[in-house]
Amino acid sequence: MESVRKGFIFSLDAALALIVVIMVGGLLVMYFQVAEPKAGAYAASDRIAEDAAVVGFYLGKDAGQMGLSGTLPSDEFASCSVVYGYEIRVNSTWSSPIEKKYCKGM
Amino acid sequence: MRKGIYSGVIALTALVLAVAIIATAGQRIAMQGDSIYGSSMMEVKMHWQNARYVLDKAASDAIADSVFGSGNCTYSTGAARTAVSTYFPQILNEMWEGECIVSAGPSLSGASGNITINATIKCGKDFGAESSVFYEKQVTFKKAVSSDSSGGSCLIDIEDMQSGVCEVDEILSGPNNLCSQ
Repeated sequence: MESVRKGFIFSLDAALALIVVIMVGGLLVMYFQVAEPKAGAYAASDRIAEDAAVVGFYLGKDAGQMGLSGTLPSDEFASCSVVYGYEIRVNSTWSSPIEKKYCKGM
Repeated sequence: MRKGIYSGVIALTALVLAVAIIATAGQRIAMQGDSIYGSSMMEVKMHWQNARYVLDKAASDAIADSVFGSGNCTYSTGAARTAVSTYFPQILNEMWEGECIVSAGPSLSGASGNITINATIKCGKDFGAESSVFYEKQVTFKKAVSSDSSGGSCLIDIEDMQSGVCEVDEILSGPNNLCSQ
């Protein structure tokens, strides 16, 4: 009778290993499910701000004209992209570049 | 023959699952890394284009200021060269915390009606000590300047010869009126 049972019920070590792997896998899936939407929101606000800055730079439009804010919004996900302009002033020193911010909050 | 076959199957399943999880996680991390490099490259290129635009204007400012500060309202290649060499690194240093630099030059040559400025702008971003992205390219600016102090004050015109845009327009009439000719 003893010899028949041998090998039928799998070893506890192998079962524990499977449980540990499934748990780690589950935790990883949960981590990515939580982290990815956040990373996606950051990436989206960053991309929108950057695209607006590029278009604004070439068309000479500021953040307000591009439908964005000139300061960092207090939203959970927000990003700013900065471009610079320059104003020529005939005097005896250089002018500081004029900072223009294009910010998007989500 | 069947001794331990179930244990073996379960252990193999655990192993396959573990490998699949590690491979998937590794791939996601690698993709995130590629995405960061890609977006950084776009950002660096954008900063380079912006730096080029600002230095184009700064070159005209430097030339105008060198004429204005000459004492006799005349253009001098040496004074303009000194001004451009001072302005370019100082201005770039104020943009994006010094992310862009003038890696070669600037050089300035030519008479007042045909000034050529060459410089190499390098923009980059470091990711720790081992990796970075950068964009480096030479730029050329061509300017023409005229000045007039006949009225007592020093008036200056500067034209960007590449775009035809009059960047400084103080002389409104007379033979030195560069922008309206």
